[in-house]
Amino acid sequence: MFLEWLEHHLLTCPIKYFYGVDCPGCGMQRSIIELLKGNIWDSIQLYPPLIPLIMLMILLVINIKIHSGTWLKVLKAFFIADVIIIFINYIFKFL
Amino acid sequence: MEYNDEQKTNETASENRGFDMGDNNKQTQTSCSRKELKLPAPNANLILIFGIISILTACCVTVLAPIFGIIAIILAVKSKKEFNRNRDLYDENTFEKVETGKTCAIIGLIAGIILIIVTLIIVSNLNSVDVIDISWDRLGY
Repeated sequence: MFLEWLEHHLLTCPIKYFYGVDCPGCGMQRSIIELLKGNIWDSIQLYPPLIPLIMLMILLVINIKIHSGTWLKVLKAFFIADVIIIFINYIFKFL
Repeated sequence: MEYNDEQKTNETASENRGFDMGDNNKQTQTSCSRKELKLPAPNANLILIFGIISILTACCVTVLAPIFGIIAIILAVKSKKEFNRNRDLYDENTFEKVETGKTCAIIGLIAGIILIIVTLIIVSNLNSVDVIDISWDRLGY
């Protein structure tokens, strides 16, 4: 029920709406819905950086709760990896 | 003989050192208990959160991307200044968080600006909209 309601109430991307071009975050909402349904492979196909971003959020919460240098290093590495994945995803959309 | 005397003096010195070490240990313990009383870095968690949100906004709302990065960098610089003003008040180890937040914010800021420029370039060279629209239609929103 909730997922059906979500599917009918997706937010439209302003860049997509005005220019007809995908922005770097297009596909994230559909990907989240697919992930909530349990189709992990479909969500990866729709928007590959989603799962790394969720892991980054989890790492952020861990870093706020616990203070240690190693967790901060892990967070930084994940952040850089996420940026690279987002760039690759956005470039491959137009190739 | 002189050598032996030196050795003896060294031994006594080492013994004394041993006593001193004990005293030092006590002192370090007390200093550790004092360290816990020190304040954490100002706005450390906020800087970390803003630094990481900067890349999330670069994904979702491309226009807003650099704002969070700039706010995080300004807060980091301010907290560093406060730390330099009175070093005894704040705990030095908590400033690792501020620095990681700052680096994340800088990377996020640069990435956001590059993504905005790339989208502007793509929007300005719109000759093949139909080709781009295929993926959107195929997925069925």
